[in-house]
Amino acid sequence: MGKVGCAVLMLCASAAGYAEDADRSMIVNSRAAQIEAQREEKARLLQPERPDSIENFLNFMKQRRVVERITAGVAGFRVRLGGLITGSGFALGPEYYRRTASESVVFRTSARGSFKKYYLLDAGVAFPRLARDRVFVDFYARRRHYPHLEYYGPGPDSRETGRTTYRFDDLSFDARAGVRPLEHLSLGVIGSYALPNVGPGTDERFAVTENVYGEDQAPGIRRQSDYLATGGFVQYDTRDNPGGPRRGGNYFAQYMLWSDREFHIGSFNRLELEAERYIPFLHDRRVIALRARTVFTDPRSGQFVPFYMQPTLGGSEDMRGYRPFRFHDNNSLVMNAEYRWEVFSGLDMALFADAGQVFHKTRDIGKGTLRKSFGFGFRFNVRNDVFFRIDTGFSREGAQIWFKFDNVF
Amino acid sequence: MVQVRQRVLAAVVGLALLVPLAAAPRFFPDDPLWNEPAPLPVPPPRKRSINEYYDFFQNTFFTPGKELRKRGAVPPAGAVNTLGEVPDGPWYWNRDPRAMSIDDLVRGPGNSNPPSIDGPWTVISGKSEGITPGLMISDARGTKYLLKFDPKQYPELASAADVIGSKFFYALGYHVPENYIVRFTRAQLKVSKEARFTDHRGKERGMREGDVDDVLMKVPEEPKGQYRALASMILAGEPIGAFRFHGVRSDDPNDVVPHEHRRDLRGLSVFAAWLNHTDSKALNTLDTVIEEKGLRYIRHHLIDFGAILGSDSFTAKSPRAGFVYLFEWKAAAAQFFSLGLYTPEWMHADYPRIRGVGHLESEIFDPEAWRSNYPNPAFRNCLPDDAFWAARKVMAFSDEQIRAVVATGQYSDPAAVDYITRQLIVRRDKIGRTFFSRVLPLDSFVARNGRLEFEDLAVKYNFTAARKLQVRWSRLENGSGRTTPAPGDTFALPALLRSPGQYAAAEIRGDDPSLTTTVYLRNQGGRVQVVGIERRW
Repeated sequence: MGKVGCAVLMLCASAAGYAEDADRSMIVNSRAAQIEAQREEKARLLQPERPDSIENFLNFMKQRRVVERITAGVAGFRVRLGGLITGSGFALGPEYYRRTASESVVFRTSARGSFKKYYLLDAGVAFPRLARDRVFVDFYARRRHYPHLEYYGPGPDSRETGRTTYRFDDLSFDARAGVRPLEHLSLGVIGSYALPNVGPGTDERFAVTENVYGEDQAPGIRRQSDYLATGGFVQYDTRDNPGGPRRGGNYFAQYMLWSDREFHIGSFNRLELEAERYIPFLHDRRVIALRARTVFTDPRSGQFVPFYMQPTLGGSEDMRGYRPFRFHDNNSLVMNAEYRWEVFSGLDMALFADAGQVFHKTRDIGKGTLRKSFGFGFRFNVRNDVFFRIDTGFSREGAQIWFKFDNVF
Repeated sequence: MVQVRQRVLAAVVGLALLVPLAAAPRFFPDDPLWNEPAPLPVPPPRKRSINEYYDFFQNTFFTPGKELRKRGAVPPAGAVNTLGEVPDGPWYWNRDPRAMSIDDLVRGPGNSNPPSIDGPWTVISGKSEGITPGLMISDARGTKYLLKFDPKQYPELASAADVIGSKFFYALGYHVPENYIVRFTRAQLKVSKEARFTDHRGKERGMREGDVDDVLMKVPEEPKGQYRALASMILAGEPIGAFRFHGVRSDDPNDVVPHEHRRDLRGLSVFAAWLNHTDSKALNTLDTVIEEKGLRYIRHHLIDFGAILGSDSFTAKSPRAGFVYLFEWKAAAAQFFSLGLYTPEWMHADYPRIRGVGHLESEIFDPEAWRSNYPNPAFRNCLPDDAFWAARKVMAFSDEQIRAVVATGQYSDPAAVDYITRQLIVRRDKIGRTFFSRVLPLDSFVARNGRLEFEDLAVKYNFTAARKLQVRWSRLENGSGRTTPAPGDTFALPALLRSPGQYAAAEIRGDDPSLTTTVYLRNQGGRVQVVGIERRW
């Protein structure tokens, strides 16, 4: 009994760090005096509260707003990670971002580059909450330089060994305006002007595209034109959290008329349809995520769709077991299914299967080889927003590992 | 290995090395101590800022305070009197819910100081960063409040939880702020010329009227342009930062018991489990320097109850909250390797869709398995006697009292009050049933009419049928702590207690011989009083 009691008393005294200098001969004859004596002993050895070096460092980070400087910016400047085209490698760069607290006006501009010497400059201003959130207007301009994109020739049966490389540059200006007549529903119009340019790729491991594929297999490879595009879109979005959805759906349709303003040989219409559905169970800790996406292009009579504007399949966003832009043609269809489960609050894992096909004419859908890939992924999130993912995809052409600072869908 | 662990409730902390141990009596004349001695004056303390990430990682991946365990075992709690109760002081104040009227409970830490509407509220600072926007205001009397708002998708959720939490934790004995639910229109708020505002990027600047509009745009708006908010009255004294749940403040002479060994903080785990206070962490506490009669000392508070019940402040509570830590090796490994095929019970819980309720349930709630968001050193050290101390207080709340406190959340849907009350009643009973079975739950000891009288709480609350208890008396030599058997096997007080200055011990056991409660009695000045209680399990 007394032994355990002593242990308690010693514990508290030594924990306070003042046992060594204690006056053992002091006589205490009341509990209150006992406590007072202990306090007085500690009072002789008071020290200011001091965090340890690690907490000091973290507090320094907080006080100097280091994380905010990176993520939210100071005076509007911050670091932007990723966001370039698939296959560009790790990219980052400064971004200037300002918005009013009510988000009635948002301005953003960035300059991002990757270690593979891809770069992107862009700027945009948005008015997302006009007329009490009913109307939105965006303006966006972008300059891209992609020194080596992959092209394997057209069609669903293009050979893996047919890989070539080309350079793609463009300058584009977009304007978008729309309304939200109902909750979840948006519709609007788009206008765009694009100045693309294609040249020899810089990846010396592969042949230059124009040396392998002629105009018949890579339409538009010899000369590029400026484009004016107009169209409209409609979106019905019931996702609970677009940054990391666990329930709801997103349905999107966009129709655009692309007009070759210079040579009048590459005009086409483009219809893009996409449907996403998230089926949660077990309190959203498990989600079946489904997506179907198709792009149809329709060249105007006697004209073509430039190969660099054709729909593609392959890469981190759709067919994850294939290399980026593995398949090109006038039309594409891809379906993705994911089973996602929460490992802990900051990490979800996923098993996925992708199936897709490109095809030259609409009537060719279902003909040719339906490509399939499958794999698994890790999705890291903060407050349910996915900020980083690692997906590993497998296909008959091998395995691909993707490190991405975004969500797949 | 010793199966029967001995735990002593008889120790108020400290002074062991100051007093020759052999000379230390088991009980002092002033035992049991119900009030801590007047605090020593505290020198001007430095305000400290506990880093949230540091606190999370330290507690998740390390075990702070474990070096104070004796041979790996958790020592008995400190900061208690010889009855195992926490004396009144700057950490804790005994309030017996059984003795509190409904009005007392509803009043809580105070209900007569809501922001005055005799004039506009002057906004003196605000923030739009972080997960919830907030405004600091001063009313016409100059009293300051922090206005906190509900998430737009979940009206009433956090504000109701914050008010309810302040009432319950006050009744349970903690120092808490006065919280009020207020309704006001935009015209009630005027920005001070000196007001500062922290914008969404964390940048501080002068505040404008438009900033208030922007904050209010993000919160639910009620009919007639009214806004509902939680007004938390600023605590008295100079704030100097949060306290940790381990160690002691090195600049406070009165803080002598490592926090992970304080009974009031260990027992808080039971209260937190009852009220689903998953966010009970250092950052939701606050120390202030109080000045009373020229004496400056530090008082320790619990603050911010917006994440109790089914609320997580900025959203409804995650279904996993309360069942598993944010990160837990074992649980994560189970999910990782099973490909999610392993589905713990919490994934199958049922939650109603009632405005303001969020995710709160009682069916699969297990008091012993309950988890805060991340490990808490004091919670981890909670022993059966600590849990008993707390469970007894939880069980003291009647159904009517619980309903009355829940109603202070001012839910617009009466179903919310019904549902939350029902859950808290079931959770309360589970707490009692669980923790009253870990010790012999005898309580309210008193020497009366020549007998030792007490309550068997397990019987009182119908957790078990009336049972026969056995008692064995012994004589205690207070100076040496030695005991010698004394005659008597009934609850009649032994003859030795007729003599002043004599001590006796009654060891009581029930069907389970491993659970005993020993009561120490003393004849002091001709009156026999209970002076100590010791529980073994």
